[in-house]
Amino acid sequence: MEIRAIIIEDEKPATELLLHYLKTFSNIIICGTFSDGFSGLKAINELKPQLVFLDIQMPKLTGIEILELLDHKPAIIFTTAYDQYAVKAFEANAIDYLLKPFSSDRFTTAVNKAVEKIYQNQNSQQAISSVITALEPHQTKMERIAVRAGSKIQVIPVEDILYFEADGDYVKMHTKSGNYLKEKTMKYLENHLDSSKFIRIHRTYIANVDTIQRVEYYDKENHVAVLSNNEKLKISSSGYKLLKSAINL
Amino acid sequence: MNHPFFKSLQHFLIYSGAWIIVTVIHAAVLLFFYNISISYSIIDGLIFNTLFALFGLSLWYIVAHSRYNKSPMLNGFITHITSAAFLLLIWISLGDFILSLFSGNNTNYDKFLSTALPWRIISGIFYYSILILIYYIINYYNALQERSIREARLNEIIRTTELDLLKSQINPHFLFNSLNSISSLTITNPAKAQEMIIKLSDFLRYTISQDSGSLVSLKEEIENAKRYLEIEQIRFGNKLQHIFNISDKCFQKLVPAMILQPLYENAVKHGVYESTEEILIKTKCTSEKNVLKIEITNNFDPEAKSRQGTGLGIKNISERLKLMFQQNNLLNINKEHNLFAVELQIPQKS
Repeated sequence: MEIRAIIIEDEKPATELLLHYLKTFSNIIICGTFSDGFSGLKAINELKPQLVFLDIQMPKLTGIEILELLDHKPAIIFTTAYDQYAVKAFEANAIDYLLKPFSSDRFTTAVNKAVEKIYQNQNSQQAISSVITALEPHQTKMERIAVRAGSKIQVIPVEDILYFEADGDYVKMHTKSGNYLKEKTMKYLENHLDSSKFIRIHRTYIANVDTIQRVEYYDKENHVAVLSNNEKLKISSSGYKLLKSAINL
Repeated sequence: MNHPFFKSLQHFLIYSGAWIIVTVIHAAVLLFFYNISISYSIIDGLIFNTLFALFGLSLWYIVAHSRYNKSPMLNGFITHITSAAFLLLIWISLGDFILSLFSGNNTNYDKFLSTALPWRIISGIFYYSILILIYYIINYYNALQERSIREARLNEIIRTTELDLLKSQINPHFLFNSLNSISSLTITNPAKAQEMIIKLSDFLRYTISQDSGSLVSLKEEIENAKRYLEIEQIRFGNKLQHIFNISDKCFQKLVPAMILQPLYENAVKHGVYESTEEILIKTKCTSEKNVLKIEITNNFDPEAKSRQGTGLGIKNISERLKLMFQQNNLLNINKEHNLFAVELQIPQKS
């Protein structure tokens, strides 16, 4: 059985090295090489390869952002020069990785392991989700969020987001140009967004302080936030306290 | 704590001179307003003012060593009230005692002595306050000077450690990725692999051999920048382009060592790493009126929405320039739609 693989790597010499090492594997066919996150993600979802060599640091989308957006979950071998946290997460969750520069022996071991998994039809779904979870504590303040809008990928800078709304297992991101769903929890967003800019004003809302025009009384106990697009969001009493300390009402 | 009036002969003379003037005025007042004989006026003035001058010297230690953790105002006030009372008591009784050794039959003077006590107390409090005030000002001034010396020393330490840090912090990403490229080139293009190893070695050698705070010629800095960009070019191919536009007279000008490297690293990190299009890094140097101007420009992908970094590297450079040349605004940043420009101004010794 032949295995279809693709390489997503933004440096030509690194790509050439992978191709060179792969020459010895007659059962692996390279369906394409891609040098940025967008085209790489599109290729995974369309070509549905069984094996992907994935660099972390790339234009458009990082390797980690690609993980979060995958429909089709292939076996993945990460290639990275230096990323302690990512490496720890990979090790803990049985996702293989190659530290640049790597020897052909190390490469062969990694590929053989991946090939075995593919033959045994092991699903990578579990490993991928747990890597994403393991990486969460180490991610710096979110500056952008990558989402899927139909067949397109959008990278949204957090400052463009008016507010987040809890929506079952998803979070709905409201922006001026439309709404997007992201598979994250409100708790996660609260911990990873700049807390001086994004306030959990209610159980179901995290609002961008810069878009709040004014705060009005709703009734004796409750307030509403009026946003720049005139939408009104309920504010709970604990949310009101947070908001007050954030914008010194 | 060195006593300010014993610090130098000049200070001591100023202190003595002030008291001599006070003594003369004192004696003159007794002579002309109380019609006391000249000898008694001088004796009175000498005894009381010399005593106060001597006691006054010790007041410095009260000012300099008073450190109150709780309510310093109140504690200082209490301290001075008690010390002033104590000093006046000793001063007046000792003065009177010494005077009694000289006592003769001088009716005018005896009459003056019987009314003198309130005046002595008032003048004593006045002298005390003036002295204490002077001591506090000196103490404050000393502390201020000490602090600025300390700050200057700290800044010096910070600057040297920053550069040491720069040296030790050759970006590991850059290093490992370069090694990976070399590893690949050994298979595809051994001659180029060798060229890259030599460039990388030269680059590392230059980076670790620079002394903190030293000045090097612009030529050396630019050569190092070229090495760096050529190494990165092997990784990124045509995506990374660079142009150097430098007039001949600039090459010999002096710039702080390793001042340009972080700027090129920024341009590569935010420009080349994040873009799929060509990125052009332009360097332009001109020299005018003892100032060397260096402008580094790069385009970037405005759609990349990448973290534009913390700007720590740039802040660092700005601080270094400020410390070395004692001038602000030697670094200016200009960011437009898809262009990022940094302009450095390096003052030259005429």
